[in-house]
Amino acid sequence: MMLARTGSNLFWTGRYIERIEHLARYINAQYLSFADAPRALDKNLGLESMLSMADTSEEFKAKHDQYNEESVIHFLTLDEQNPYSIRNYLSTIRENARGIRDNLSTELWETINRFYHSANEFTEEDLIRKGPYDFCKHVLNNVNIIKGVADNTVLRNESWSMIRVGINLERSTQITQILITKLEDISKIDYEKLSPAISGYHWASLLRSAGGFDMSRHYYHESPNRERGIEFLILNQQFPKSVLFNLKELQSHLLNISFHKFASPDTVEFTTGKLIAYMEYLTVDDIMEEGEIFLYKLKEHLFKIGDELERQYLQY
Amino acid sequence: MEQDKKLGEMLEKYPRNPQLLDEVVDDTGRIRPHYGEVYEHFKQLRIKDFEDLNEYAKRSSFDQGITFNVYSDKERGVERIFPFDLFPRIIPGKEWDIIEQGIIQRNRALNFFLRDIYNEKHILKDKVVPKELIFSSAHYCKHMMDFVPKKGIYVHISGTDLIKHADGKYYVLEDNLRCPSGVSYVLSNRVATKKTLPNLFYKSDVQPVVDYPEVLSEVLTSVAPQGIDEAVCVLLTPGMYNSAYYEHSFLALQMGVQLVEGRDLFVDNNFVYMKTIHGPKKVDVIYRRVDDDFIDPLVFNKDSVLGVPGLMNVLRAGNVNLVNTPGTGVADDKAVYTYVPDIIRYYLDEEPILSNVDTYRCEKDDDLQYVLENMHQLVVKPVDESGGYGIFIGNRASREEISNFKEVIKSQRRKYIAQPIMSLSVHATYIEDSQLFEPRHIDLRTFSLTGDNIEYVCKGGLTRVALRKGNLIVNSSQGGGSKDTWVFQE
Repeated sequence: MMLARTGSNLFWTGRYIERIEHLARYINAQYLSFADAPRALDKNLGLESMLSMADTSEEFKAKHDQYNEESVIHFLTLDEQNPYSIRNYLSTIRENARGIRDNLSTELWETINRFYHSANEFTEEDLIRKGPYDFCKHVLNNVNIIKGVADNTVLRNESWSMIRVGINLERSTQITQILITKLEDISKIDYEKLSPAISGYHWASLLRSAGGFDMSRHYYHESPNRERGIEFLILNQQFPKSVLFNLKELQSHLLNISFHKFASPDTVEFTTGKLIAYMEYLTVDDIMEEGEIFLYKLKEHLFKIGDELERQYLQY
Repeated sequence: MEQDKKLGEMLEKYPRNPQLLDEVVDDTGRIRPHYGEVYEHFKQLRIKDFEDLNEYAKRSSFDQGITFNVYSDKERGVERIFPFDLFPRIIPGKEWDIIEQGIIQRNRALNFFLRDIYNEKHILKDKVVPKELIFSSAHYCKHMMDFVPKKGIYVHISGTDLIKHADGKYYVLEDNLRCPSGVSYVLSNRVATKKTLPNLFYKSDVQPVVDYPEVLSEVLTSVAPQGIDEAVCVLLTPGMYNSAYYEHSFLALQMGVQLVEGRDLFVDNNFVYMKTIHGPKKVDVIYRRVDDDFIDPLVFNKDSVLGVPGLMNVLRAGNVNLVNTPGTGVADDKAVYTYVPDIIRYYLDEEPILSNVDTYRCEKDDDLQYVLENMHQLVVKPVDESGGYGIFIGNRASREEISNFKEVIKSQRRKYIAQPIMSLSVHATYIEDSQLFEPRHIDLRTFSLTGDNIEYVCKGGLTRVALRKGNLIVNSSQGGGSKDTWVFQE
């Protein structure tokens, strides 16, 4: 038995943990890719890309006249004035966890609490002096520890499934958002003039940003290209970050929450099942044909799943 | 080598105050027998190791989130821990037996008293306790009249504050019969001692305290409404911004019950339900940590968002039980406190096992006369404040302050009681500033439980330390710390 408020806190804890992981990885990957870019890319492109991936370009522009490395990175990581900074997400994660402290294992709570305090020790000066690498690495490590501790200590009941639903839904959304952002980045460059090597570099950077570069090499035994990149991140059924993989996980956790009740058409279980059925019979060629439209539609579907889930289970 | 210095050197410099009763050291400067083993152990510790343990204990509280917020100019505020002293307070088994019997006796009598004053009122008719005193109390709850909760138990959870006076006897300083807090510190202090001083703990025969949540859970189930097979119990918290939130979540987790807020509950057709992901689920027993005033906006404070509208009706219909019952505050009022020995005699026909501190009630003419003439050697307290606020200490006040306060008392006689200045015992306590052990005043909050056929006192309790030198007030809101409290097995 679970309170709706508890469910809501667990769901959003899962989502925000996943969200800061992707943010930290993306910022890191973009920042590092300036360093060894084969062409002198416009640096602003990388910064814009970070803001667009975090969906906060508007908020940033409202406060800053121009881009520079320090202001963008600070805005996305430590800025207490930006509600979408990693620091503020982390505060919310900890507050959420504190609000449902009794539903979490002691180990899980203490891991989250320690992470909150240790992340608070990073200052703006640290960022300026050392760049975002240390902070982002700290976030990535701790997010993985949190997920590992959760995996090892939390009862496999609705609480667990509710955290996982948050994680799976957020991961699908973030991967979709990363694809949209990177495709936009690439479209800004004159594609025809790119040599295959440079084009390959972009797809490698996309996969790195999503945390799937080495695994895709392993899977395809070939360097990444557009088709392989998209197929791997959307349709691969073995890669734990692909959209389809996460939708299937999400479906099994929803079944756990609903006690395998029959899913009528107005339920989140039904919407999820329908999306999975569609994607299981999709080829990468179908996606390429639709292009970015496909990604925008996918994002809409994912939003709908989130809305329905909240309406169905998390009202209090 | 500086590094190899032992704690024994530090303990030798202990500044004993021969005018005060010291729990560790006797009048001749010898270590009391029940502290022998602990003292020897500490003596052998290296100072460096001891300081590391002290740091470790602080770190551990911080990681567990046993913190409170200190607001500052920084947006997110600063989090502080409640200071915890590594030197445990020890109570010999024989002394403890008396405390335990005394507390159980008090709880029985106070439960009879509450039932009586909300129903037949024999004790008032017999003029043992003046009825004006009861009906004028801010905590007398008229919504509890002519109603008896399940098994006649009003106070399920009680926090009795004790001190040891210069005469070596324990005295009850006050009863806390509403929502006494602090038991989570008893449990977490014990965990901290076990982690930091494992070998010492292993050698000593210390009575466990971990059974508290288990017994509490049994108490809750034992007072569930009639005909419930598996009672659904919940813990109602005002929310995570409450200063005792850590304790609420801790107890809920230990007992495996849901931690709910007012907004998670609703009343429908005279039953209480909680909102779960699968719809409403009936609730049978609520261990509520929300004060009477806020528990039901239909009956009490109408602006409260912390409570549940309609809850009192459900209670009176017998469809839910509240722990503790509303209206118990009338019995822990400091003016009613003075009658507890009479209350014990009246209902139990027994002499009180634990003494009360002599108390003068300013509303009585003789007592008022005495108080006004002896202000300089009395503590004057408002009857309805907690947390150590509004207390007047005679021997610290100037002549002018005394005469001003006399006027305050005369204008609100019902509000004030006075007691002799009790000399709280002192205990060796590690003081970071001086890096020495120094004597500090202590008291003891005990935690006891009453259920259907259950009478339990947690063997130990929270020893509170006034960390500021010479300070007699031990509340955490006034700069107090705490100690693990060991009850030895005889």
